[in-house]
Amino acid sequence: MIAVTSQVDQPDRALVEPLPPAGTLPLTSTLGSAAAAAKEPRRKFVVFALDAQHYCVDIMSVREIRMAQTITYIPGAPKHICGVINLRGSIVPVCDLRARFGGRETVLLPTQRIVITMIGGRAIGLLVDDVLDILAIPQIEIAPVPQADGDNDRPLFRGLISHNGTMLILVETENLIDPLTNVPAN
Amino acid sequence: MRILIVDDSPTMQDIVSMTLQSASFQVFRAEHGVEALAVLDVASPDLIITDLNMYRMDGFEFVSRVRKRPEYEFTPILFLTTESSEDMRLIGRDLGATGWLLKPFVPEDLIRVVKSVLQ
Amino acid sequence: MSRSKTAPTGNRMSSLEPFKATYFQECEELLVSLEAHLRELGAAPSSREPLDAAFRAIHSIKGGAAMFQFARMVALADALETALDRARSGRVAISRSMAGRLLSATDILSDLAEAARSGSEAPDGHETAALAALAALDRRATRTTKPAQAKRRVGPTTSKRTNVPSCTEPEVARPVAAQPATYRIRFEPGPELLRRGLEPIAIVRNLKALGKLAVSADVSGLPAFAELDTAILYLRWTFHLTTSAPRATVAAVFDFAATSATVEIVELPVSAPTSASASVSAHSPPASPFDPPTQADRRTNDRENVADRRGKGSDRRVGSIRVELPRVERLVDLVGEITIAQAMVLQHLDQTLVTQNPQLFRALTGLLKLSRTLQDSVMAIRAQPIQTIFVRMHRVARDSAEQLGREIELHTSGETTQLDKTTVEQLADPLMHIVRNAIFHGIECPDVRLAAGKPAQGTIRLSARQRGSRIIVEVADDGAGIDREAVLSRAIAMGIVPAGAALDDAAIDNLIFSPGLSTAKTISDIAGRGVGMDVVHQNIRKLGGHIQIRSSCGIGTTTIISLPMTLAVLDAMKLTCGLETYLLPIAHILECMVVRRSAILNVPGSCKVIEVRGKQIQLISLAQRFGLPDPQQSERVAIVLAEIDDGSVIGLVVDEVCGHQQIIVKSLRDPALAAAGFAGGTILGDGNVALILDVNQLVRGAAMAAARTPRSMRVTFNAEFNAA
Repeated sequence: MIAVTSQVDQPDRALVEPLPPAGTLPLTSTLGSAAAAAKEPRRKFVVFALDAQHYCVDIMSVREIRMAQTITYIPGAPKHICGVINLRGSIVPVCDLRARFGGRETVLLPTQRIVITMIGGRAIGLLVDDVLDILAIPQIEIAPVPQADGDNDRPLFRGLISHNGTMLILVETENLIDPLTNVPAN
Repeated sequence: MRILIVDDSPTMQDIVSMTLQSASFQVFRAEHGVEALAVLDVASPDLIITDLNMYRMDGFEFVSRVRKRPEYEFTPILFLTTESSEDMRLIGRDLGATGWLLKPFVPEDLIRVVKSVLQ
Repeated sequence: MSRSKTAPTGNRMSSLEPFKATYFQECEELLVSLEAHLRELGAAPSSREPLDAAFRAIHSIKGGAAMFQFARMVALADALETALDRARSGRVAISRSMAGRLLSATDILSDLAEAARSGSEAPDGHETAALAALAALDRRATRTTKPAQAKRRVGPTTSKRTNVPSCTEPEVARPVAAQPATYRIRFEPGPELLRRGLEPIAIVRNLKALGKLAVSADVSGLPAFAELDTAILYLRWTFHLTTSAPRATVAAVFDFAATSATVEIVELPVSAPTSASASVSAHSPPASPFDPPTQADRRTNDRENVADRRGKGSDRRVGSIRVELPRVERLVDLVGEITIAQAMVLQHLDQTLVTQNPQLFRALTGLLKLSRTLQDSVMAIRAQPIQTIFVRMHRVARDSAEQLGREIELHTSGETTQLDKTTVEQLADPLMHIVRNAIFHGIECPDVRLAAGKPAQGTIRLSARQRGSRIIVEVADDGAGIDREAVLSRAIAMGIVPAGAALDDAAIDNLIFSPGLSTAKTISDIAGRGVGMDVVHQNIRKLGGHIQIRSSCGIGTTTIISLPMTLAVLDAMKLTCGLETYLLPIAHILECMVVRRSAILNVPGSCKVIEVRGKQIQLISLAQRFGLPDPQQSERVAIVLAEIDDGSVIGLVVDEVCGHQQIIVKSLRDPALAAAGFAGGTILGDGNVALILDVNQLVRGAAMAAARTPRSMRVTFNAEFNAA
């Protein structure tokens, strides 16, 4: 199926699986611990890595996963926007997640991936080191994030998941980028 | 200056080509309307000379299609044909043809007419 | 149209000698196929295809034979052609026996051709019997009761068969005029003359070649510039030609034009009467070639003017269908992809392959042109002239003016400017607000205006134009201008601006767009609710556009909306700055130059300038503006002179100007990009995004501090990469 991203922002689609990505790695799908959580409603998440830490995002917002490609620099863009890419004829901004989370600027490597995610109604690419897995996690296993930085009304993280001995940080994608509306006059 | 000659007779193509080439025109050929439309953009002619009765697409349809293309809205188009009827000439005019030349013709006449319609 | 007259037959044969071989070869093939088709017809007399094919074959044989003056062949071929034509038009039904007779005639024709080929003559009367048989067929045909149908179909039709121009056509008696004669020629072209590829300049040139020519053009038919249609001729001419050529030659100049124009050629008596008692004759008064057209002439011209203009408004009503928008969008996207794909093909085309294979290159450029045309056509589907909303503004203006007791006149220009259909629709509301605002806040009461020396009637000018990759829509009024004190104090009162803040005029003006700001003393139905300008601003932003206000106290206010052209294929120049590539729409470019770095002058405390033909041009270094790494200090520097909206010129300093490209403008409207200085983006042939520069924004902006390493990220294979 050809998905042509037109210039009109695509409405959020309810997906169970992401679209067949163009020229990307196949994704493996594993189930979490089957034991007690077997009867709980599960959500599916895409798991990716930044340095040594694992993160995940709700699969409902993920559209596709692309290999690392040239990202055109946009002068004047904020630090966490590393540029834009060509996504089948549309220009899509890319967020340097590492920088966004307070780390250093990412240096583009061929092993990295760009996770195309719907944020605020438009497509944004998230630059990550690697995409690891798709997991189905029962709702109850998602623990809240301790609010370390006081009253931040736009937290970056939505929850913590302990899975097979690894800690996954659930990212609140909607807060990664400024929303489309509500922009100050230039 | 470039001229496109459309005629299904190889003899006629030869005669028109050589005649016009002797007057320093660059000549492109096509056997009928379909072929002519295909080579139109490659040839980019300043003038088109076409026969009327041709296989696959006749001169009238060809002229009518050429005129629909913005780059050729004002290009001179001459019919070169044995048809001499008034009806046919008027149809040609209404389709946007610039002029109507009769076969048989004298090569020198052809050059003179071509030069008179080209800027 | 009339036919070109054939000249005396003398030297025709010799010049066509080289082509005989080709003709005989063709003739042989045609005869073979003619025979085959006739046999097929004999077996299946009602089939259409062999009939048409046979006709075409004999038609070609005849045409060629006529060129070489093979009179006997022509005569027989003509008879055959006539017979087949009668059959095609249904006047005669093909029967087995008729087909047989046609076949026999074809055999004879073959003999004649063979004879001609060998340079000999067939025996006298060889073809007489065949001709007679065909003539009998003809007579039978004309006796049928079927009416002659001269249907005006496109395609081979029945036509009044005129006599075949015989090769020994009698020469048209052309008496050569002994002395020069003067003709007055009136040439009044019809509206479709240009569309037939006929240019009046060619006619003038041809007349000039005949003798002494005086030309006078009648421009009274020209409409106002805004209504001018460049495909229609509004001019008519009067020529005075003194020539020794015969009148027929003069008339022949108008041969092709005559059916689309009124041509009147009058020979003037050579000796103009000089005595004052010369009477003005009823026909043409003897006049010197340089007299201006007389009153009578002008009146006729005027009459024709009116008639012409009535005819000019061609009925543009055409059929239409409804298509769902998503389908059109998909089409637009796909067509865009084609352009990019092509650019990629061309990009990867090995130069040597191209030079060795000019046909390949021609084929590719042909392909490019075709898809460009396809692109334009598809884009046009989405395009709508802004006129559709402009016309609504008249009503809006009238209603508002009435409600407020003002006198308003609305002028529009640039109505034909094309916009994407959805943009047009979404622009309607904001535009309406702005017009209402202008009437409410801008235009003063008639008394106030008169007291200020302005006309009682207020004027609002609505304009639209394309400017490079943007569409600029302006609403200008000649009202009182923005009351800056009131706006500022209100803004301070509302906490939008801290008290005591120092804002320049432009900044105060643009406070208008702040939410909730309203300086109206009474909240009225129209604009004072404060709902107006900030919503307008948001709507424009949603379209990916910008909005600005410029105001002059007492003189008026102009609201300027700049919208991206999302449908465009743009011509742009590729510029490089280090490893970054940018594009600049050609519409903005005045000149590209390469200068020595030493020619750049540093104005202390200000900027760098360069002198071009005596004028000082301010320079903007892209590298500096974008915070890009400074390019190597090369001896020579590339500068692109660009024109900005207010007409002034700036120079962009870049590394290299790489060439001209056609690009598709893609919107960059995501605010996350905060892309100040860019009109949009595009995809280059290498598949990467490149940004399109907006010179107006560049001029307004300042150097950007790079928030991160100012460099496009390209995939590198880092040897030291540690996969942990």
